[in-house]
Amino acid sequence: MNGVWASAQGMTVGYPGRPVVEGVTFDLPLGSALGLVGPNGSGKTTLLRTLLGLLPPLAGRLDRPGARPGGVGYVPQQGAIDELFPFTVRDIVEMGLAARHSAWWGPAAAWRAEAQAALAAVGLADQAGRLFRELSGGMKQRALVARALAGRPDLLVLDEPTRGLDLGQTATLLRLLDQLRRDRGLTTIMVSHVLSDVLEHTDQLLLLHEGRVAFQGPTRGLTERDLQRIYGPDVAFPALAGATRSPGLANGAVAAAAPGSAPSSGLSRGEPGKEPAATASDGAAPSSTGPAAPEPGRREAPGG
Amino acid sequence: MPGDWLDLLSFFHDALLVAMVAGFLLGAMGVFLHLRRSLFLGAALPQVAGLGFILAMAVHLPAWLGALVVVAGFVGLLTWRGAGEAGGFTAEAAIGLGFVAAMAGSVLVTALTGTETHGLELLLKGSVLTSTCQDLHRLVGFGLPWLLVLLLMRRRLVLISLDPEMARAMGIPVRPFEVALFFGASVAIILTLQAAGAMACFGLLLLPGLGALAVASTVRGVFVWAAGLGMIGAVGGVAAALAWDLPAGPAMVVASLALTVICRWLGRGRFVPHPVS
Repeated sequence: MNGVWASAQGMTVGYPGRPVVEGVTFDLPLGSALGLVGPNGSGKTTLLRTLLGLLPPLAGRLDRPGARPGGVGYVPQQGAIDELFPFTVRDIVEMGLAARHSAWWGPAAAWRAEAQAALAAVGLADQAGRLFRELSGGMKQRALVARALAGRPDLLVLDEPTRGLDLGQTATLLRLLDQLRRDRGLTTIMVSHVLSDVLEHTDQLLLLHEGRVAFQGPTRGLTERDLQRIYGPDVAFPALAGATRSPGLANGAVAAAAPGSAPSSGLSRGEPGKEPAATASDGAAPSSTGPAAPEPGRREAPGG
Repeated sequence: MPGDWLDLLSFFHDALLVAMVAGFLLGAMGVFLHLRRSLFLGAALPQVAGLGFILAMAVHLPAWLGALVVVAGFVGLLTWRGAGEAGGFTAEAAIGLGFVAAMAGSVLVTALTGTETHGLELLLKGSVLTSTCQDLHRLVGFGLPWLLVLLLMRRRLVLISLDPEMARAMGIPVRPFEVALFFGASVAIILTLQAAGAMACFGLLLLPGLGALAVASTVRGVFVWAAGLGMIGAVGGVAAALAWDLPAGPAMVVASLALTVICRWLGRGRFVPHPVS
């Protein structure tokens, strides 16, 4: 159990009388980056809430030896912050300090200094006084990362961090997250329905499909054949299986997108009639389960 | 004419002060409800408190005690509901249930006990013009300290209201803070209900915040503006009621509404969010 933030054995997550994902077994090593991928409604958020201790598992076992109060930094989806109120960027970041400091009034100067340091870490030091609602989508997400960092977390959880961002903003944000993880030794969980965002920026992958874990293991162990076995023969993802995947690309979507298709797809249709593969993997020993189902997933990764 | 006004002001001195404190209290408290997007709660709590008042009077108990017991039960139910995901209905539905049940219950109890006039006054008109020095002391002694407590916990309350999921993930105990917030709002409402009436209570929770959001440029400013607008709206309503012999509660609502419209007009074009990519 040492060296892991969390460990799940045969876990079922969901709500009483309504299991959402079954058979979840994995370890989340400290310092690792886990990608949690699946279409809308596949149970990503439910699994995430269970991992964070907000929901008890319905069955199986979940140990969280790395968890400590205030040790989680959470970056919500864009749009989760009410923009009717005139929050400055500093106001937003100071919310991240709320768990570490007294619930009562604290010295404003100390809070401000800590918020400023967190903003500097994400390259927004000069934006502290601006209204949050006036920032671009990419800057808003970086401000929310700063808010999470202000709490000095061990685990950084990002819920669809690139949703609504353009390609440049996505690349900037993902590069920043890589750097923060390296520099601070953070364990991260990135929830996304865009597979391409996760491929280059995580080292462990949990792929959810129809209430089950369809793939789990090292991210580099995922092959195009795995995806075709899970989602059907029409799925093509040339960024995988050593075809055109380039480590120089910030976002696998660029390699995967067909001309004229949405650049954020990361998953495109292949040639009809391609046979699904029965086995997974290129020696990295991932485990793959789950039914084969036709799943075009043109714009958003598997099933979105 | 000025002499008449001075006479009126001195005669209704306590009423004006009660209106001023009630407007200040409810205006500031309403900002938390705006932040939580729980404004329907601002409509439901006065109705529920009103039912408590009417029930207590029907069984000859102190009115404030009846209101406190009924409101505490309702808040307990709400926070218990909010804690679970498996109830099968939303928090908004639970608030709506409380609102409609309390309203129907109030009308039925007043009909059964022959106190329709009093019930109507409590729910619609309020009786601020008959406020006394004791009413003022109660408001200042209980309401303002609660508001101060909430403002001191403002940072956590803002986070919990704005992003409860993050607060939970960070290990902050969300439920006690929610209870403190709901209870604070309930205390403010119970203290002002008899004076302002349920309708004006809701109006003073809702309207000053709406106006403040249009003109304030900081979150702290929203609280200050809302408290100020609530105070001016309430006092303006009482003044209008005195001048034109109107029911005070609706006059406070109309005065607050006028201030809100002015603020929205003054603040037009201020809210220009960056387009989402």
